[in-house]
Amino acid sequence: MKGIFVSILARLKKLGVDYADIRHERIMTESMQALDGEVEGFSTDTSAGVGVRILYRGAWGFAATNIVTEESAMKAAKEALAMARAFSAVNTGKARLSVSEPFVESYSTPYEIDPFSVASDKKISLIAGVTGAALREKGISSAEAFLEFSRAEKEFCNTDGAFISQTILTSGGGYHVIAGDNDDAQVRSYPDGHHGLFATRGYELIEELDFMGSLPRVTAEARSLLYARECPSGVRDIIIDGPQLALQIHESCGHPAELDRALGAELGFAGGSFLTPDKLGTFRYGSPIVNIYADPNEPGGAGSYRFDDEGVRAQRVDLVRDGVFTGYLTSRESALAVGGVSNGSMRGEGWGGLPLIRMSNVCITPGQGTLDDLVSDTKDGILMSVNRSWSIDDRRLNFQFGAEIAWEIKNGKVKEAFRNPVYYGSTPGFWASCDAVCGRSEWRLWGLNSCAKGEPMQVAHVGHGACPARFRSVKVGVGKP
Amino acid sequence: MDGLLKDRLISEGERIAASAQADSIEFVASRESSSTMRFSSSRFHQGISVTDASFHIRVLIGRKIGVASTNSIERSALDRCLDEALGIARATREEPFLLKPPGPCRYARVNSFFESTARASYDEKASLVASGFREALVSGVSLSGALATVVGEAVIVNSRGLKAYHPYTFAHLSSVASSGDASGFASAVSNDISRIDIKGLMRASAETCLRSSFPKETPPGVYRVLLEPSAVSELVHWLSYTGFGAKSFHDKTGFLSERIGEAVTGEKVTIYDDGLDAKGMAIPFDFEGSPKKRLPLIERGVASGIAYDSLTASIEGRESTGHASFPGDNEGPFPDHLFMEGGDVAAIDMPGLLGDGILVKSFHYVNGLLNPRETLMTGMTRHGTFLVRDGVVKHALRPMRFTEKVLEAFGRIEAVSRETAVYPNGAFPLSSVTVPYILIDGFSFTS
Repeated sequence: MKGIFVSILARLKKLGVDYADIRHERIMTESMQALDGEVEGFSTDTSAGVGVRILYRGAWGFAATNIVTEESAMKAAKEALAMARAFSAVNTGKARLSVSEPFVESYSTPYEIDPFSVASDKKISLIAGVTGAALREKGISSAEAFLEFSRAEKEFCNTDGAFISQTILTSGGGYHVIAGDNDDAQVRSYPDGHHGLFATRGYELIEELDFMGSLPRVTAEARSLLYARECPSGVRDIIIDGPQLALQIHESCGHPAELDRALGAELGFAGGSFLTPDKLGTFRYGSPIVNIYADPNEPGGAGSYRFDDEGVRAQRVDLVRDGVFTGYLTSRESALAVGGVSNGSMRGEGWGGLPLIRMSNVCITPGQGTLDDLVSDTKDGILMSVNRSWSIDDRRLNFQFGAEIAWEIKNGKVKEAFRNPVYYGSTPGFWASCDAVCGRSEWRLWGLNSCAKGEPMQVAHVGHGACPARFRSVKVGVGKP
Repeated sequence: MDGLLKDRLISEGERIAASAQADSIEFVASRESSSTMRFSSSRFHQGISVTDASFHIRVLIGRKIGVASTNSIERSALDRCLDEALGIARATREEPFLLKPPGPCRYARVNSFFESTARASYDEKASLVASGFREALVSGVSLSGALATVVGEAVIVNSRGLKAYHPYTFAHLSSVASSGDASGFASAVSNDISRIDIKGLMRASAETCLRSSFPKETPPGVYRVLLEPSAVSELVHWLSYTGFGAKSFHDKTGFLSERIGEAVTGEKVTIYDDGLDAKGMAIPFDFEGSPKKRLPLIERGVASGIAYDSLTASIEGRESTGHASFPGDNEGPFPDHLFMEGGDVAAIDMPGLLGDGILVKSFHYVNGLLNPRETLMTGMTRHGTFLVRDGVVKHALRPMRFTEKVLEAFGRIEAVSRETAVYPNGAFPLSSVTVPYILIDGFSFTS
């Protein structure tokens, strides 16, 4: 495609554009689900197309087409230009770009076993087997398992002279079981809710997850919830486990640290951010032990890549250092608002998604000790595991998150299980109450395939390195007045 | 989009469906061109135009099902897609049920295609929105939002002789006005862009924003509330997602599981799905080609029905209700043209009936997964929350979080407006939720 790209960009320059880039992607996906021991779905999808982004007299236009020919790509380019022209005629102010080195490179995410080469029967046996086995367990009324694999082949070229090709291979999967009777239905998921765990890895990820090995614990926990007490309301010390902390980081740190959101680009839809630029470098986000960073170079992260969709090299950025808000996820345009250059955080969903600032792998820096150590150190608290519900206000301050299961902690020991645990608070106050983060041995990269942003809504794969952490004096329960 | 391709799409569908390599073949095609003009701080900051297609092929070999899809209309790509679907069907396991795709059907006439939407140029749309920017400047508010238009067509052909085609257009304006702590929201959706009063809606969002200025705190508690349609639409959408589809009914996580025929909420609540009602982005068939028809979900408070597609209907030994999504979608069927029946009160009289309470314009980030069996949901108020005393708005309130069992709260509905408003429901353009204003005697705000 390089020749076609160069030809189109040359023609766009003659038409007077300030800047243009072209992205071609071809994405192959295989997904399968099993329900109660039977195959519920098995499908493949191939999607290919070209997207052209243009900056003309300080106004943006983006157009994409599923017809991958030079003629069609040029037509899309003219469509993008027409939109940018219409905007430039009525807009006040002009968009500008910070500088970026024009890289000419290629990259592929590493893996051990190509999931597309694994026999279908092996994959089907895994998910049908685990759901069938779950259903044979006492009290389990339903079980569903998922596998999904994708390979995205991307080429990027811009008027600065960059030409980058990348192949991103992603694998993911998980299962959940439901313990149900006529009065209640309780869900336990493995290894995480939200369809499991995703990573830029091969089928070795699925083998490591060991669905069958986890099943006795997961089904027993689901069953126990049918007889468990409702999680009591009150102000309690809580420990939230890795998957739940991943969601907490996602909603209360990752999204508010997106600079486009902080500058108002999402005000018309999902909202803004309390982390406004005046707070950069000075705002006390959390306690001094809270350190959160974003790193697209994290090996195997669901949000790993080498170059973003503006051709900027992926970089680590400290979002929170020693509890202080220190950095944003940025783009070439937005970085100028904080006096910098892009740290490579722009991604579009497939070929048809306008690049937006997206989380890559937003992670908490591990502290010390194990979960057992943390429980032993907690006199009276609640341990919560795996996210079930999530809601946060349009500045990312007032949140309420629910987990699938909780356990009471008394005098350093895990006691009875609670169902329907929920906690809530305000973001800075919550993170200020963090007094312990577990160590490296408890830290792992969790990965979601469903981070939504923008209009039309785009979904992105994002990773979160997280481990159990403790928060003091948190409001627990649904907060009935 | 380079015009509609009805004949070519049907012809390709017939060719694929005529393949003798499977017991049943379904061809489900959709082509769309969308343009989304996003604005922020009263200037356009993003413009997105996408032309795409999806071609899903589902094959049945005995009781084995294979699904493959591509976004290329090229014959070679479609043939490869068919081969992949056949390969999957051969590789997978037999289902315990026999999937029965629908045969030839008669469809109601539905007009969802309007040239006004299809032909609206970027210059025309930008100029209309920009005139709203200029008014907002005078009012001292900043506008954000989007004007989106879609032109599309859907084709279903299967080897049982079913053939369905439907072209459509869609237009949606959302406008958020903001100034300091205050914000206001207005939106409209229609197949016909000429029916959307773009400037008027932007002005309405600005007026709400100005009324929302200087918000005060009020303590959490149980309040009488008047929920405007935008807020009600979020609750009904989540009811649908957590309880009106066959999958949650089957796995017992849904609130209607084991409760069909029982009273589940108050008598003032009637919720149904009707894909043929022109008020709600109508379409004559679902993505298996099953005809749309009215499906009662809750009638006068009594649980009445569940949405099925052919797959879930086959599992349960029932008939499809015409709610299939694209083949391969694992979320299962959902009602996608929801209506909550209006009542007998004029909307303008409802603040007076409220007396003392809280008026909520919109909700934000509602989540209905806290306890779906009990319809326990949470979310924030947004873009206009007001304290009402003696039927008169006293002042704006800061956003508040509600946590409430929604069907229980609906059991406390005192009044329902005659007027209803329509909102998009989910990602597909031809889906909607149409709801009235409701007055509830007791709604829990928790923080």
